[in-house]
Amino acid sequence: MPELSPELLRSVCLGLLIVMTLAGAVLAVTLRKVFHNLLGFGLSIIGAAGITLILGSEFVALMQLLIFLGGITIAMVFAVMMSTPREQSEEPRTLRAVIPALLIGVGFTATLCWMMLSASFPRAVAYAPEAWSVKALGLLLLTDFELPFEAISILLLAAIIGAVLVARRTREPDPAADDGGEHG
Amino acid sequence: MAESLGTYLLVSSALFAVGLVGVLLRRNLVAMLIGIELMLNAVILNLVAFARFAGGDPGQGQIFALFVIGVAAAEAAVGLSIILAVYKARGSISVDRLEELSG
Repeated sequence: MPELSPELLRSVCLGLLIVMTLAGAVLAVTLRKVFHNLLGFGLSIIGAAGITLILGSEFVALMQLLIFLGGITIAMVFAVMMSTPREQSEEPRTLRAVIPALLIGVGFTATLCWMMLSASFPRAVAYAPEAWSVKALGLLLLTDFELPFEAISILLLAAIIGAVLVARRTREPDPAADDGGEHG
Repeated sequence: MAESLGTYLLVSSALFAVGLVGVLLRRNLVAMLIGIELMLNAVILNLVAFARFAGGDPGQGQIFALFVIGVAAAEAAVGLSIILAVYKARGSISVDRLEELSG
């Protein structure tokens, strides 16, 4: 039995996380029930946060887990549960709908990979743990990136108020709305 | 081999492509939003990978990743409330039923 070196363990973990991320993403896109899509999306988020962690950024990985899994996915579950069961799964797809989407996706990835292979990137620098610490991030946020930090606070405030205003506006229940909107 | 910039870039471009196919393929508004969030995750992976491997100040890439996360949260909040408003008004969240403006 070969000795389990830290590098080997790291590579195995990275491979498992990559498989988890991509498999979760494929499940999130292909399954027909929206709730199953959400479960796949959660799996993909956990894998992506793991990859971020392996890259060395603990804080970004934690924020990814907290906000994507703990915030966005839960909000989506509420949105799914508020719609009718008829809306929670889609009709079978026709080949006419699948082929253009797949073509665009494959073409986009091929272009990206071709550009990446023909590009030359700067050399890697040595990994310095103190530059990746929460302390360093906090210092950057309050010195060099003060203005974007404030701007994103205002953006989040505007998003909260806008979300409440948009979702709060109630209408008279429309009896014809249930038969699919042919009345419009 | 596993520890290079190219590995991470390939993974994130594959993730982005899956999200793009999801947005193009799905007819359900929540499922389309899931596709957008997958693309945002690919962007975050990309930023952190460049911060790790492509020189420069590693803090900057992480800060940009944090900003992407913040914008994703704002976008999901507004998007979901719009979906709820559409559902209240039309009784459906399928884009096939929202076609008044399609000539």
